[in-house]
Amino acid sequence: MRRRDFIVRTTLSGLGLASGTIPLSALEDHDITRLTILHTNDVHSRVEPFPMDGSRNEGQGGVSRRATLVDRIRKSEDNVLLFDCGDIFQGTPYFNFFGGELELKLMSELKYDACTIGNHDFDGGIDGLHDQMPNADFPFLIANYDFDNTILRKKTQPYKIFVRNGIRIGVFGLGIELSGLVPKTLYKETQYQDPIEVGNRISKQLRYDEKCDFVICLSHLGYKYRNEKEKVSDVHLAENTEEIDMILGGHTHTFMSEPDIRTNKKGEEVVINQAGWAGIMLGRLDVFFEKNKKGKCVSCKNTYVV
Amino acid sequence: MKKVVKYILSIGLFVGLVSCSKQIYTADIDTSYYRVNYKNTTDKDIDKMIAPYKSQLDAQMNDVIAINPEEMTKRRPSSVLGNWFSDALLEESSRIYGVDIDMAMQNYGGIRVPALAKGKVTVGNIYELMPFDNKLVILELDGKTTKMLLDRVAEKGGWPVSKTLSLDIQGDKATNIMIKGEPFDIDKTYTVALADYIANGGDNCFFLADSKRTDKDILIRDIIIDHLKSKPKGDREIIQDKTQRIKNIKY
Ligand SMILES: [Zn+2]
Repeated sequence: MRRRDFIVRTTLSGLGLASGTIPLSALEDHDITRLTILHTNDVHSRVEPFPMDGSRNEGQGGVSRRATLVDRIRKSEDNVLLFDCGDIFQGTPYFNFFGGELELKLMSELKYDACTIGNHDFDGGIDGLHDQMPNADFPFLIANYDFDNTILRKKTQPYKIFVRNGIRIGVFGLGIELSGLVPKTLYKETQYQDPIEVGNRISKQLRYDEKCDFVICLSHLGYKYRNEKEKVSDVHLAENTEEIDMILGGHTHTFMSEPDIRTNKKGEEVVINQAGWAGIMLGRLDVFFEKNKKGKCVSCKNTYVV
Repeated sequence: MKKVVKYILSIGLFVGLVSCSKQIYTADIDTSYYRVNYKNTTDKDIDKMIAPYKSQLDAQMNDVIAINPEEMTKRRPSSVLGNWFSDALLEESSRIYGVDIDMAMQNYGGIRVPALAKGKVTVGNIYELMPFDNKLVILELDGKTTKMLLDRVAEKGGWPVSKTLSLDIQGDKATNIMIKGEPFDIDKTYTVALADYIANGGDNCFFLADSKRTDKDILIRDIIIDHLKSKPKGDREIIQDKTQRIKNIKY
């Protein structure tokens, strides 16, 4: 299997070309599985592209264009997963007038595999979210909101396991603290639980009980907070847990030029990524799994293709 | 061929994954970020799904209600877009509530667009600027609570405020506060127009929740739309004020 054939050479100043790339031939001999993870966050009801009105994002985004892009990737890759990290709702009149119906129908049409819940997904009230859920053909994953005393009881699940080419991928969701951010009249009796504690527990469960090979967190906690360093974020989550391999984030509308790689409590690396907002960007991470190769790097040096 | 990949960088990453099935995987991760823009083709089926919703919206959203002579951007600590927005709230709140308002403000995150483009301003633009169903309420705040609110504004890096208010941000506190041309007086009571979201304690303004409040149940979005529509048709150009009402002071 060729693993770098999709790389397009393009120009981006500021990135040097690192040496030490392992030749392709060295990689083709092994049993390698490529898992292609696509993700969006904070799409905020951006059904159509930003209008062509001279504003800075004009012509960007749009579900219809995202659909062809996802389609093209699905045609060339065997194992594709598509996720959204919350704040699907609110931001254009599509939400004010139709309550999120179209957003979820379109995501179903794009065959999203799962999403988590963002604070703005409560903007139509927890009842509004409940009423729209039947329009989604994919599960809402959220492990740290206790909905037991709400209308959403048993309508969401903490995690889901995807099996691709024999590889078990455990995916769970974490949401931001709602108090002080969302009026209680909207989220009602939803109980927020500590994301670090829940994240640790669920990821261990996925790794050891559910025997997952890769653990992904769909997070709406926010990437990091410059002014509020204590506030729990994806960086905190990565550094204070043990079994999360990858965090796909949202809420802070962060455009990244490379994923942030942090070290967890066990000294292992955790990848944090986010894809801006409004569907302007689609994030893609290709994870290569190599069977029966203990402790050997496939490519230890960072390789920038410029 | 359509080149949708704006740029790609590949990161070789060693993640030793030990699974309980005794099978050992080594993961290597490549990352790409795709720009979704005009270089991508559209999907006919998706367009068909959108069409009936779009036509319903377009009928109401495309109404031009103002002309913006120059792009207005939203910035911290102070900006031309924030100034215009809060001045509209100030003007309309005193008209709607029939009282003298000392200051109007909007939380920074409550204006949802980074800028309002030059040219025609439609109803749809105002929906995007203020998509939330927040209402404009009036609070009567004692001096101490007013100071807490203005400190919160400072701590948050500056919010859009009306022309009747100016202050400096020193550390995370508000200093050199001027309200209607007078220095802030801790013994005075102030009348403040803001979103019910904040009055209910949103953006960590918990201390406002028990304040004396008047609420006529009117959406901020509708107030802004009516504010623009109330001007005579030939005279709907937005008047901009570039004054720095909030400044950051080094200490
Ligand atoms: Zn959010």
